Amino acid sequence: MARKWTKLALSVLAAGIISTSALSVSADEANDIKYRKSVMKAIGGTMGSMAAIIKGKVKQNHAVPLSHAMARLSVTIKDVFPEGSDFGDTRAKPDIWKKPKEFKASVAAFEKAASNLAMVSKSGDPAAFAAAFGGLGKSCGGCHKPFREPKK
Amino acid sequence: MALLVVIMPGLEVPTANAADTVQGEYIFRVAGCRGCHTTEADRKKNIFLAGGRALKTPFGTYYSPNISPDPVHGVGKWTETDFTQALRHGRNPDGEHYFPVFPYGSYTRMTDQDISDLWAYLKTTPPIARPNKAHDAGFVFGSRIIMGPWKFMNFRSGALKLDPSKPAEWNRGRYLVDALGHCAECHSPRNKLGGLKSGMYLAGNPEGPDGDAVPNITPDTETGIGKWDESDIDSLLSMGMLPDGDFVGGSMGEAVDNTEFLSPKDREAVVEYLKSIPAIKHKVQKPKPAN
Repeated sequence: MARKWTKLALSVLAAGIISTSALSVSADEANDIKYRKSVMKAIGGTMGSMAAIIKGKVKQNHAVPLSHAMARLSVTIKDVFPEGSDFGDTRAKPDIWKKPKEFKASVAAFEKAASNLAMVSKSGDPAAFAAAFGGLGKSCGGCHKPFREPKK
Repeated sequence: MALLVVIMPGLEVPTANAADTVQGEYIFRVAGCRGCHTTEADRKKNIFLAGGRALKTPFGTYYSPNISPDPVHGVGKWTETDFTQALRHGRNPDGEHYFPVFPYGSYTRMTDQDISDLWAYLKTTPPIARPNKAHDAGFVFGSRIIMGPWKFMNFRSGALKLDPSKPAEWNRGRYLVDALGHCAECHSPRNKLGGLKSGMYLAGNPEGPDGDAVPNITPDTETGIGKWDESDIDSLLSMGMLPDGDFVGGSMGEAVDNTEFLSPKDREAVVEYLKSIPAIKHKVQKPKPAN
């Protein structure tokens, strides 16, 4: 009898845990999503700064340091989509976790394009830099297109 | 006025070149034919134009047809006249109306030469033997007969007329935006019957493809892209970059698959034209789902 009650209590407890995790976003998940967004903003800011240089909107030429920062930043992306960070205030599509092979390939293409840009920056050739920047931009879109929901 | 009438047709006459497949491929890219007529799964396997892609609209789900030159399932048996009739008049070779999910309201504005070049190119693409999928659009919006009155209300056929008071670059930009790029199909809002709302040209659409909101791209500084400079528009068209360094995904990401092929000169023309259109204050808001 006592055993039966324990069993029941355990299952009620288990159901409670499962339903809580299913219905609300845990603090960890919310933090994961926030962190991902701030990393993405850092990347976007770096891209925007390099675009301003390429277009000649500013006098400073920080192509070398910014592209190197970008190459360093790019390696964070593979870590900012942990399991469970698909529920909450995010536009990340479930396909990121359903098609891990394709997602990984897109992220790898991004890392490669970013390190290529850093390498090209050293040549000091603006046309080559702009071309490599275009390639990097393509890899951003290459992930956003299949794996990010449009803005609501 | 009489002078204008005499001059304008003169300006419109396309140079009578033989159909040019290289030019045709350019038009094919810029007009974005491949996007809607190819499924995602096919694209990954490098199969193109076999159709079957689901296009979700507020009026139903339509499946794009096979436009590869397969003689049974595609357009292999079509003549250039059939093709012109499809683009210019929105009718299939049997004379039936197409549903406006196929943007013939825009393609009707193409020049004869561009249609001819596009057709020449299309015939060079690999034929794919795959049957078409039936649309899923209910009685009213699934009925081709009803498209007759619809077209009477919402569709005017004919190539875009040049505006002789405007520079050639502006006219080219308008042609790229209105005829080939078919930007208004998503960026202009529609009325309840699916016609483009008048006076809201490119002012944003709360219910675009897949139910997503599409932004206002008129030069309004608050609700449109009036704060963007020329190079911002250029970056979006050439690589999908937004002014804040973000890169578009979604439907515009797909559109960039087409606009990235624009020649630098054509891109400049689009930028000049978009900067010139009337600014419309219109904040695009997605309607709240009823529950």
